[in-house]
Amino acid sequence: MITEAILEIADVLGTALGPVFAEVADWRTRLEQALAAGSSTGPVVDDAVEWLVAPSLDDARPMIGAGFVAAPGFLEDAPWHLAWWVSAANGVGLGARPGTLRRLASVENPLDESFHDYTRLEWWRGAVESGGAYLTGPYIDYLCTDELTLTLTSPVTVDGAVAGVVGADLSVARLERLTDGVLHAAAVPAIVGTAAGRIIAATDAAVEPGTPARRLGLSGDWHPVPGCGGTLAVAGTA
Amino acid sequence: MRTRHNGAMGLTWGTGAYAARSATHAAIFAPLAPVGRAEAVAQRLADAIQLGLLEQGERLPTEQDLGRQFGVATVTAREALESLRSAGLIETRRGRAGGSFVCGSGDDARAALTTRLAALSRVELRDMGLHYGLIAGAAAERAALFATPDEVAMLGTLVEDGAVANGVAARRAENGIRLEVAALSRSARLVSEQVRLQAEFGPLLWIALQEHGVVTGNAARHRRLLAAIGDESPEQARAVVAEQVGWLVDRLLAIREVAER
Repeated sequence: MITEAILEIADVLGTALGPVFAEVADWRTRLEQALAAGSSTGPVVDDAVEWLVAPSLDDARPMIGAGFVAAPGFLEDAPWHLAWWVSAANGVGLGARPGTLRRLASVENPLDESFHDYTRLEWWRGAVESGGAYLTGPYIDYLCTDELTLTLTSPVTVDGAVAGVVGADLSVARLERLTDGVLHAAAVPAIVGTAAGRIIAATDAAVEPGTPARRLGLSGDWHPVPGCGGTLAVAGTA
Repeated sequence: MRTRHNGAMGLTWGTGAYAARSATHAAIFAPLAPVGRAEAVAQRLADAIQLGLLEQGERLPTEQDLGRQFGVATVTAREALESLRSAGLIETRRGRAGGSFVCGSGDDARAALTTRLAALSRVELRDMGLHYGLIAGAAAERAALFATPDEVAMLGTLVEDGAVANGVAARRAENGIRLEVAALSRSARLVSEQVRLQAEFGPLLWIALQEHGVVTGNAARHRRLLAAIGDESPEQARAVVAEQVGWLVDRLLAIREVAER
């Protein structure tokens, strides 16, 4: 009975969260097609990425940043390149001032040196090593969002080689609105966790997002949330 | 999504220093309070130059970009740059490759920071240290509850890079370690308070990270902090930071005594 209740939670969560994951998967497919067409430069990629991601960064959604990060050396004119947009709701670099949809400024900051080694970071390695969707966090991202964030990334491959990583920053505060309804209605105590073992939501409001799942006693196995590329799972808690 | 920025000077830096550097820039260019004026902008940039966080020859953002980043009007940013120019901390070149460039190194400018230190009372210094220690201690306590082994290993890289650094690089590493620990707390407010305090008090606090003995003593404390976070021991993590900041403030008071004489 408990397993049935957990599977039902997973299904309903999949309905709520699946569209977000489908969107990033769609960007991946479209970018792979666009990039396979031939040699690419920074400005060409920037235009394509902005066209793809900007509509998803409107105010009501959990996505507060999205874009494409090129593999070192993939683009002809830019050995390291970030085409990343942040939403109006994303407060990074603004203090308390109101924001607009904008390109992530750190790339243009002339104080930053010309080099960005993002390939050592979890959101890059996770996507490239798994070959599929990867969810990093929840963590505080003080350079790109300034709030508790989950970063969803997928590799973009062209001719069998990694051309870069496409992804989105999801606000944990905004995801709460999607998961709360499901979890409040849950018949049994449960947690939602990432593949790396981090809790992102729980039926028990006292459980903080980011807590390692191993700290809580589980009452059974993890059940994947459908439509989330294996990055999210639900388990019952004792 | 978080990016770390490597440097053109990257060949001479350890991997941890890259992270420290980008963290540093986040602190330097964190938006000011709405009351931020030209002096506040100039002070923030002067501190960064004095600490060597902005290096000799580095180009500053344009007046427009500075204004946008600090959340002040362009004219205010211009005023701040003028005062830095008259203090001899930056020079402005014209033409296509023009702009405002940092002149004078961090160690040259250390004297200015020591003067600022001497102008503060012991009471003010201790109070700043207390505030800083409480925030950094709370961040460490929370980090011990949330950090993953991966994150602890990454912090270890920063600590070991800082341990073998001297002067400017040691202070840069200190800045990066504190911000990373704050990020591990998974509290956005703690991170922003740590960034704010770092901008206000960090440059002074880290004057002491000049002598070899202080750098190694500080690194030993960071290793204890890392062990506490790795052991998931929040009380121990908080205690290590409280002792560490108190110890740094004592070193600072000693430097101030000498400067006063």
